[in-house]
Amino acid sequence: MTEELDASKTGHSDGPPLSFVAGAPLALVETGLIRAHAFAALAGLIIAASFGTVAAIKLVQPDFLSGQVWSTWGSIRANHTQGIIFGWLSNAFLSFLYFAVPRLGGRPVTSRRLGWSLFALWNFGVVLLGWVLVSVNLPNYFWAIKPLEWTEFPLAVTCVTEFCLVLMALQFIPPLARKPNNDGIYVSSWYIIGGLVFTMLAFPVGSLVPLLVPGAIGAAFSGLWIHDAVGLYVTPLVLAIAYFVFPVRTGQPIYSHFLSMIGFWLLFFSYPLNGTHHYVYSAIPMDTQRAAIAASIITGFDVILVVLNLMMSLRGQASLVRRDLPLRFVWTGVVMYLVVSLQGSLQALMPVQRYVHFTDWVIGHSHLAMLGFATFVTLGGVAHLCQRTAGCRYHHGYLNLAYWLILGGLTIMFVDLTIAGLIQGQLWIDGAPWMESVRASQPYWLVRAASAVPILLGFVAFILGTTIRDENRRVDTNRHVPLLAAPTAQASHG
Amino acid sequence: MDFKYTNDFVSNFWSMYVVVISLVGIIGCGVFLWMQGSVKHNPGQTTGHVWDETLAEYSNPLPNWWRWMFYITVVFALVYLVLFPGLGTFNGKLDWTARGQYDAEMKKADEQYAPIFNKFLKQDIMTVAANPEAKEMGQRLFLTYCAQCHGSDAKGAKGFPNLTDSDWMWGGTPDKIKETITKGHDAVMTPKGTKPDMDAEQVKDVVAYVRSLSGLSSDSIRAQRGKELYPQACAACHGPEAKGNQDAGYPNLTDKVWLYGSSEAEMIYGVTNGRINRMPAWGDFLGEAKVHLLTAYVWGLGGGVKPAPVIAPAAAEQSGTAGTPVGAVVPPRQETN
Repeated sequence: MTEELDASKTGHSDGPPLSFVAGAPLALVETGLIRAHAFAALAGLIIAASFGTVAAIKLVQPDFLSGQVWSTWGSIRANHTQGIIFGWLSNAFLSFLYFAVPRLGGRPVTSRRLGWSLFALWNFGVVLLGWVLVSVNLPNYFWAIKPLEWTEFPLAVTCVTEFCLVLMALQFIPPLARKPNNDGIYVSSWYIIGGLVFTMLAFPVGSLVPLLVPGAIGAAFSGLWIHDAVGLYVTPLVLAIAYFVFPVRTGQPIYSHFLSMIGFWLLFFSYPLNGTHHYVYSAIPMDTQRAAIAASIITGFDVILVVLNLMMSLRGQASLVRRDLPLRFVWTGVVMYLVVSLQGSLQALMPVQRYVHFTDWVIGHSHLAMLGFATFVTLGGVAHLCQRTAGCRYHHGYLNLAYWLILGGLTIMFVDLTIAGLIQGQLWIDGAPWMESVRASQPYWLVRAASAVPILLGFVAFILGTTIRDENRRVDTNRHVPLLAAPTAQASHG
Repeated sequence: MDFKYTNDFVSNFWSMYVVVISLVGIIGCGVFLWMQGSVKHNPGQTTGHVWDETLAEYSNPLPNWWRWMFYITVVFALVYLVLFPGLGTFNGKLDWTARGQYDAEMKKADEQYAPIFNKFLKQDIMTVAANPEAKEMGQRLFLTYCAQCHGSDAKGAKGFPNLTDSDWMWGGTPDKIKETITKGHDAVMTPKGTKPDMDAEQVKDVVAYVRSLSGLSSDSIRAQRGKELYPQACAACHGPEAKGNQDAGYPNLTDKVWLYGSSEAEMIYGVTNGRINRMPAWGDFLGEAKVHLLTAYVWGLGGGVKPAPVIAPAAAEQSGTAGTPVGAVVPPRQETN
C-alpha cells in the first residue's frame, strides 16, 4: 500500500527542484492511510450531517423520533457537532496530512504502525465510542455526556482524544521540523505544526479544566476550547490545505512569504483568547470579556491579511478557478473564511452581541464557518489528494454537482438563519414573550430543515464523485504541471 | 447610580498584570509593524525555497493599506483605553459601565411603562381581569415567565398544576393567587405519609382506598383495608375526609384532579417515595405591578375563585372554604385563549 514518490516531487535539496534525478532518496507516502482516513471522513460527514438534519427537523416537528434517549434533541445535537469535528474534519485532516507531510518534509511520517493504531483508536475509540456513549448516556460521571459545548463526548472519550492528539503530533511534527531538507519550512508546515501543538494543549484546557473549576470560571475555560477548536485546530489545518492546494493547482507561487508569516504568527498570537467571547454579557470578569473582544478584532485583521495573500496568489488564474474543481472548492472556502471572520469580529462587539446573543444568527455563523469555510476547503483538499493518489480519481460531473448543491443549501441555510436571528433578537429586545419568538421562528426553522436536502445530496454526490471513475474526461485540468504525481504503472500496483 | 465599576480581582497585582499585558501587547504590535518597514523585499522574486516541485512563495512586502489599517487599530485601542474602562482599575474618562448602561435602560423603561402598570396596580384584581388590555399584558408576562412550567395554555403538565380548572392547591382567590406568585411555595409529601413503617402491600391498600374516594377503579378488599390505615397514614395532612387543606397546600384527594396523574403505579410511587415540589417566588424579580397583572390573568383564566364577601366574615368561616368555586359565580371573562 506504499507509493514511492520520485525525489523531485518532494523538493529534495540536492539539485534543482524540477529535475528528475534517478536513484535519489525516496519519500514514502502511506497511500493506504490516506484512503482509509478519507473514507472514514466521508462516512463521518454523512452520519454527522444526518444527526444535524434530525436536530433541525425536531425544531419543526418536536415529536419526530421522540421517546428514546438516543433521539432526544440534546444528544442528537451533541452527536452532530462532535461528529463534524472528530468524525469528518479530523479524519479528512489526517488523510491530507498523510498526503502532504511527506511531500513538505521530504521524509516519511514517523511510523506506519503508529498510523494504523491512530486510525483505529481515533475512529473506534473516539468517534464511534463517542457516538454510542452519547446515545445511551450511561448514568456515570466517566461515561455520561459531558455538559460542555463542543466537547460533549464523555470523559472517557476525552482521555482517548487527548492521547490521539499527542500521537498525531508525534506522527507529523518530526518529519516537518527535523532539519528541513531545503533549509526552510513551508507556510503549510508552519500551520500544521502550530495547529497540532496548540490543539494538544488547548483541548484539555477547555474540556477537562471546567470539570475541576465549576461555575462561570469553568465556563470561561470551556470557551477556550469551544472556539479554539475552530481557530487553533480547524483553521490552521484548513489553511495548510489552502496554502498547499493553491500553488499546486495554479503552478504559481504564493503572493508573499512575509504575509504568510505575519498571518501565521498573528493567528496564534490573537486566537487563544477569542474563545471567551462566547461569554460576553455573562457572569465572567469584564476584563476577560474585553480581552476576548480585542482578540476577536485583531483576528479579523489577520484574516484580511491571510485571505489577501491567498487571493493575490491566484492573480491571472480566474478561468482556472472556474474550471478546476479542487481549486474552486478551496477558493470558495477561502472567500467564506473572509466573510465568516469579519462577521465573527463584528459579532464579538458588545452592541452587536447584545442583539444576536443566543439567536439563530449564531447558528448561521457557525455553519458558515464549519460548512462554508472548513468543509469547502477540506473537500477541495480531499478532491486534490484523491486525484494525486494511486488508484483514485474523481468524477468531474458528480463533484461539480456536489459543489453547487452544497453551496446552494448552505446559502439558503445561512441567509435563513441570519434573518431568523435578527427577528428573534428584535423580539427579545422589544420584550416580547418568549413564545412569540418561537412562533416567529417556525417558518425559518422549516426552511432550515429543508436546506438540509441539497446539502445532504451534495455530500452524497461528492462521495459518488470520489468513488466512481470518470473515464471520458481528462482528469487533470492543470495546464502547468500535468505530470505531477501522476501515478505510474509501477506505482499503482498497490 | 452609585454603583462604580472597579475590578473583579481581589488583589491589585492582577490589575497591574492586565495593564502591562494590554499596553505591551498594543504598543508591541505597533513597534513590530514599524520595524518591518525596513525589511528588504525582492518583489516578484521567490524566496528561493521550493517544496514538492511547485510550492514556493514570492518575497513581496506587506501592503501599505493593511499596515495603516493596523496602525489605526493601535491608535483606536489606546484612545479606547483612555475613554472606557479596560486598564485594570482605571474607570476611563467617560465613566461608562455595563451595569450603568443597564441601569439607565431599566430606568428609562420604568419611566415609560410605570404609568401603565400603576394604573392597573390601583385597581382591584377582578376589575383588572375584566380589562382586555390588562389581559393582553398579563398573557405576555405569563408566556415569558410562567409558560415554561404551566404551559403556554396554562393547563400545566405532570407535576405542574393546571391553572384553568377550579381546583387550587393554595387557594384560588385573588389574594391567595397573588401570595403564591409573590412568595412561591414549597410542598412536601413525606414518604409513606405519617406512617413510615407501612410495607409495600399496605401502601397498595392505602392507594386503593384513596382511588375509591374519587371513583377510580380499585380493589374493594384492598380499599377496605386501606380505609383502616388512612387515619394513621394520611389524615394528618389530607384531613379525615380527604378534602385536603388549601391554607397549607395539602391536596384534596376526593376530586378528580391528580397532579402526577391518576394511574395506580404513579400513586403507589408517590406514596412510597413522597413528593417534593416548588413554585418559585417571583415577587422580588418581577415587582408588585407585574405580579398584580399576572394574578389578574391567572385568576381570569376560568378557575378563579371570588373572595368571600367582606361584610359577612362569619359566614365565610362557617362555610369552611376560602371561597366559592367559579361555577357558582359568573367569572368576569370566559374567553378561551
